[in-house]
Amino acid sequence: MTSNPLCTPNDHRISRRELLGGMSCLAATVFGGGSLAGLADEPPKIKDKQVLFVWIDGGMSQLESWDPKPNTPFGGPFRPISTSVPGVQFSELLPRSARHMQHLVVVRNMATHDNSHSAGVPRIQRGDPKNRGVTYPFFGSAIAKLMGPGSSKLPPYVWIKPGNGGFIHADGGFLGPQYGALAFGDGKPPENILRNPTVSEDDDAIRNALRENANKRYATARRPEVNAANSYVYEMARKLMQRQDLFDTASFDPKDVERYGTHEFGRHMLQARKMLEAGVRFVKVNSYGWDTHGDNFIGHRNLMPKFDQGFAAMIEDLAVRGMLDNVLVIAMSEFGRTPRINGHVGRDHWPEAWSLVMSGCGLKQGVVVGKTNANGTDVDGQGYDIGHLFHTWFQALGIKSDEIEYDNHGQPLPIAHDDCFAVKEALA
Amino acid sequence: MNDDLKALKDQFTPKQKPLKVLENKREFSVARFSPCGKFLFAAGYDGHVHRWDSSSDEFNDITPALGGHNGWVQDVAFDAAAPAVYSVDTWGRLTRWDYAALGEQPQPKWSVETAHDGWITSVAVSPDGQLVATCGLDRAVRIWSAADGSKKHDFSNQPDDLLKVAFHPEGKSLVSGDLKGIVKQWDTASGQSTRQFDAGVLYKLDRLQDVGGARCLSFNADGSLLFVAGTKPVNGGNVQGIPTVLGFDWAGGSLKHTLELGQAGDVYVTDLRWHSAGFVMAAISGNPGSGKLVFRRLDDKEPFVLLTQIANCHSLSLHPNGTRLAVAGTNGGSNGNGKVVDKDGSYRGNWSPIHVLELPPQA
Repeated sequence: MTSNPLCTPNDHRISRRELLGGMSCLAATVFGGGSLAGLADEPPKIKDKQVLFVWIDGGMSQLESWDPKPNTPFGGPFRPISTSVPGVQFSELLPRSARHMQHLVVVRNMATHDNSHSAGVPRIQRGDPKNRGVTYPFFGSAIAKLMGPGSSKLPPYVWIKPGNGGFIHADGGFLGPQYGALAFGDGKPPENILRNPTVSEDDDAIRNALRENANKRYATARRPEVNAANSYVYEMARKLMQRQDLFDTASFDPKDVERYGTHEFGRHMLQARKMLEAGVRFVKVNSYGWDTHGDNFIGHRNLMPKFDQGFAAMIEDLAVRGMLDNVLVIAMSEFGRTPRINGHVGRDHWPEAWSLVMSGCGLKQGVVVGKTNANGTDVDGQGYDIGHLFHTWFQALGIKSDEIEYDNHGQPLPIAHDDCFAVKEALA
Repeated sequence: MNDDLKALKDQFTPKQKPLKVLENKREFSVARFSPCGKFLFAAGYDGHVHRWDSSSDEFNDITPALGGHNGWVQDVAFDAAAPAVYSVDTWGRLTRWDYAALGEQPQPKWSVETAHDGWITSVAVSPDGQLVATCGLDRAVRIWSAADGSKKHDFSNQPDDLLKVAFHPEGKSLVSGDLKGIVKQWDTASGQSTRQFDAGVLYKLDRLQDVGGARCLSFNADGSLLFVAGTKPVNGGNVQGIPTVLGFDWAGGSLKHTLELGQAGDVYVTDLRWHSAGFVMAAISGNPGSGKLVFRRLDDKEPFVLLTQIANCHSLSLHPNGTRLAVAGTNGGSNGNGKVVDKDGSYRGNWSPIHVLELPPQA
């Protein structure tokens, strides 16, 4: 933790309106700015590799998706269907994704530790490393740090989500707020990001000069990285101002809109594709409302087709465009759902034996990793923790997760759980 | 409580202690007495129809259970006059069983393997026993010949998933209810949709999820009222909502009665029937452990019978003699995150105890 004194309103009275989400204060108090041990201070220039991270918040049922157990005590009501890979079956609720199994890696032996949302969501998205007294970054923040924004110079970690947007600095953990997520609430750009039409370009230039002067004054009393964080986020925002096409949904091809779905998830997935095409390094898409403790089956019957539509359209488009060579796609929840069916005809939280799906960059194609037992109540054989997946994802992206460490102001920190390893059977 | 209501309460309040609790290893979606009263049937999540001898107080199992289904058996419905029961499952099969003489190796009278493309949510038999209606998540309503299972009418391509069908007591009309709370009336002779009732208050779009729908359809004895029941949804995911019954005037189509039967955690009216003494009987299931059995007149503010000791009531069935009521519930402690194991370390599933309640002798 840095020892920077808190800023005062006078320090940035002029420029704060133009900065995102009160970044200055956050930077002054939180910014840690870990570098990478063994490497130069600049992130490695691994070009073009990107990540799409689809977060199914609340817990998708593995039994109603990637690991059906038809006609077993806990198998539920749905039928299995064949996929494009012989011998691999999905739930009938995933007909579109089933046609793209040849591009997918399905991991059916996830075995993690948290069965609560509040602990599970951050624990999973931070990779559940060993406790070393620091808060690890979310996967998107880690990629932003390790890979940078890339040639697009766009914000390296954007998050398309229902509800409100803003700058989610907490995702950055000890890396500091610079590596947080720039969140687009319902896919809309941050408020006030555009120059007000009443402000001319000339006036805007004058205002920017004034802002820069104020920043210099602010920086004289702060550590350099604090000002760097402010400037970084501000410049990211300015870059976005030049890409209004990413938010102009009216300009999207109506056929694409139809294919991805006019529902919230479909709209957000299509926008995510636009972000990836624009070169954003890490795009996260959230879907909420999957915590089906009650009415799980009618619920999944309703939710899954919308996921299936948007996800399958994305895989198809990335494949057709040749982007799966460079884009790592991950779709997952914080856990699965219990095999047993409760009195509310629901399924509860289940970290013991669940599934996730991946595709693209650095991965094999058309592969199922691991398995569960006949009734789906346990992993059959070795299970994988989220640390194994973090190693796998890093290595799929060309990052040597067992060699590279974060340098948190002199504290070396592995980028993934040091007792875990990459899932070899998933890597190309 | 006025004398009238007190009399009803005295007459219809079940004894505190059940006559029998049928403990099972399976979960059931519904349990129903046969019209003759000699049998109790239950539709199992294990893909079987289970039977008990209800001609005595012992309620002995009748084995074997009726098989041939896949997924869950979702619903059963009886011919009112003949000993025929129809079962439907979540993989699309419709089967007729002539249950009076099934023997040790029960065989169906007939079975249609793909009556629907997937989950059949409801089956109903016409009052004259000639027609069988089904509906499903394939968004189709279909009418079948009870005699041989041939298809008589096919109302496919409906706009939403269909959850329930019921015949009007006069037998010439069928109603179907969907996930958005739209109830359509069908003419069983012409196969035409003649009108619809709007029970949209039983539906809500919450984020991506369509929540609620017309979960129960029922008529009063003379068919002058159509009841549509489910929940007024609050949210999806872990679905919450207020269990609600709507009563529509059949002749005019207007909404006459709205009965809210609990709080948001009580959620669904799962089963509903009209009692000839002039009240509705509702089974209610919501958050695990919460279950209600409610008897209430339409114009009263409160139920005159409210039983809460049965967790998660999924169905109710009144014995033809009027003195017994079978309620399929769920075992206590049915929910919980993570792994719940038995003493021997095996993973424990849930089950549906069927509570056979005794009502006072009817006058």
